[in-house]
Amino acid sequence: MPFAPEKLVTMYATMVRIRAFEAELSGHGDRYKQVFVMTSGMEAIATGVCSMMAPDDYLLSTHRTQAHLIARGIRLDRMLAEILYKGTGYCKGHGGRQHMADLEHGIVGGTGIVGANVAIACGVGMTCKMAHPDRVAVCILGDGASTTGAFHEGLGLAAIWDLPIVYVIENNQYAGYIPVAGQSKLEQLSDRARGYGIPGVTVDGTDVIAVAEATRTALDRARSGGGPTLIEGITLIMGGGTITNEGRQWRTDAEMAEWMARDPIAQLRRRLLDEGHASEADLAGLDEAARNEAAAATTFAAESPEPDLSWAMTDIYYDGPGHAAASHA
Amino acid sequence: MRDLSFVDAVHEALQEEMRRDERVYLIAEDVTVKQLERARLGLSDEFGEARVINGPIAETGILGTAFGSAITGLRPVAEIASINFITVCMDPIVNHIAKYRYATGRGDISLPIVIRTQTGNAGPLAQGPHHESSYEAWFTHVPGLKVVMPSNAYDAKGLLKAAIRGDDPVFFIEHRLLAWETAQVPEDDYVVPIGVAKIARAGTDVTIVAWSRDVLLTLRAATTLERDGVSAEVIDLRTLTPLDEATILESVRRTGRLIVAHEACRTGGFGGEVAAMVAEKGFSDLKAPIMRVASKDAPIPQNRGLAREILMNEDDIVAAALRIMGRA
Repeated sequence: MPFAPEKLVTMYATMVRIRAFEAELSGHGDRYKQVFVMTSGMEAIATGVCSMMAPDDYLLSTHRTQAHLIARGIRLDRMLAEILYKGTGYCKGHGGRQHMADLEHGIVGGTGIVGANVAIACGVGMTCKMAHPDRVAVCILGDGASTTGAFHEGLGLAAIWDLPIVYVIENNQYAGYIPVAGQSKLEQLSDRARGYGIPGVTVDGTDVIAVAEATRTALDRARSGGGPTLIEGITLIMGGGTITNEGRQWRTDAEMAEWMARDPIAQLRRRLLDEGHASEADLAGLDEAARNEAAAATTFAAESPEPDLSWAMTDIYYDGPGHAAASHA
Repeated sequence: MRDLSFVDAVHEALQEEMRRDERVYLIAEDVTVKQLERARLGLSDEFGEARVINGPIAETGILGTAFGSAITGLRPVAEIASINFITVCMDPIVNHIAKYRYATGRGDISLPIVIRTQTGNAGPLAQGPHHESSYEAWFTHVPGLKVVMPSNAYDAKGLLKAAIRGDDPVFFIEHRLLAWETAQVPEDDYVVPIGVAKIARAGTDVTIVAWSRDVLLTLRAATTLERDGVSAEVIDLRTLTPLDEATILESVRRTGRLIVAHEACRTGGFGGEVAAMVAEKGFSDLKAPIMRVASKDAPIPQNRGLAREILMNEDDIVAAALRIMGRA
């Protein structure tokens, strides 16, 4: 079933919001002397996946959280504040980009340990199965995660327990400096699914519609008790993997040119215009709104206070409702 | 009250808590170790395989599952058959279970995970270097975890119930050789609070701090010492973190002498932490240098004669007490 034009326009809006946020972020590089891990060029996977999720589904991300969480609806201002370690950020300045979470909205969060969330997703899937059979856990991971032990244990358990999980490999073709050919002998990483007796599918990760269609199929399968699916979307980070552009030097100019030409936002833009779903003015309006939202996030973050120093020692043990009673239970 | 073995007390705690709260579930590798099977006896019949999950050999997967399910509302009790196996699943414990709340700035998120594991030497049923280690100190070094090591059936049941009902991750470490030891256990519901030590034997000359099975060795040593005219006070720590500093300091204030006894090897053992705490906060009460009784810094060998060379025993505790009293 094709997607409604409004859905496609919403996907475009999400992708330009992600891109605008990154552009805003890169403007903070010098000032904050941070290594920001970038996602430009990977917007289609985040957007295609999250646009298909139901409101109560859970999302697990990677160490590269921005695109996924924006696509899932996290607030840009509090996210930027956290990336800049401000007191108004999502994690009180404790976590930064890698640990961004919003559990009330089903965003279980990222992780600083590549691959760890593949196994953790099994537990989220277990909660869905035992307590919320209408929900699905979606776990996005990088190509580098597919060589970790947690990936293999996680996929194995998800398969034997028929857990409602959609795993999505964001294959940007490099794990650190190691190209995917140095990580696996397989032609495509989705072939790993066969080792666990679950479906695996590879799609063009720059084509948001292809990603969304594959995700929809996998979500339907998970929600109806069919168990997990492994989706691989192939893409490339435009520029380097980080704001300092490290890694760029060993990508050939031809490789970069090819992928720049496949910019997922430009692709969808052309399609919306060609098919008459939106006008240049409509899209320019969305572009501008995204830039304004990102700029407002900067204003919010810049004006936010540093974390209260007492927070250095908070959140280590449970301090929620009834905690005093619990500790004397 | 009736006599109950440690393992049956654990079984009762699991059964009663699963009846009390349907969010509680067990997840384990279905290993055929007698005391592990005994603790799970009949639970899958009563609660079904959905709540008594037998996993394959995938410790990272099992603890990842426990963690992911706990932050989304379940209350897992995960079993790792031997503390040595925890070396292959340190990431979920150290980076995720212990740090999720801190990393996300959300101390109000309940993280009710109990990790049950077996520790210590296996006595005549030798298991060797990959099974019989005592690694409790590692987990006391990870803020965000609580480490519980009961010495008897009564405490095991009450502490396990407190752990399951609580909102913090708890490392619940059971010594293999305690499995069939019995104690008086009430039939009525009760919990033993986490973080509270117990004076297992009152005395006036020397405070001996121990936990888990070493409490038994220390109580036997105290009986021997009594015949030698030394009155030993035995503190059963029950919980390593959070440490009940007040009970230890109050005892040392009365006795003026401290020995810490543990089966774990000496270097980096939790005894060093207890000793340092008393040196910092109770130095003026001390009449003699603090002593540690610990196993030698070596793995545990299969051969039991060799193992006896490594492991500390109650004679070592007696000898240390006589020395700290200036009697040897």
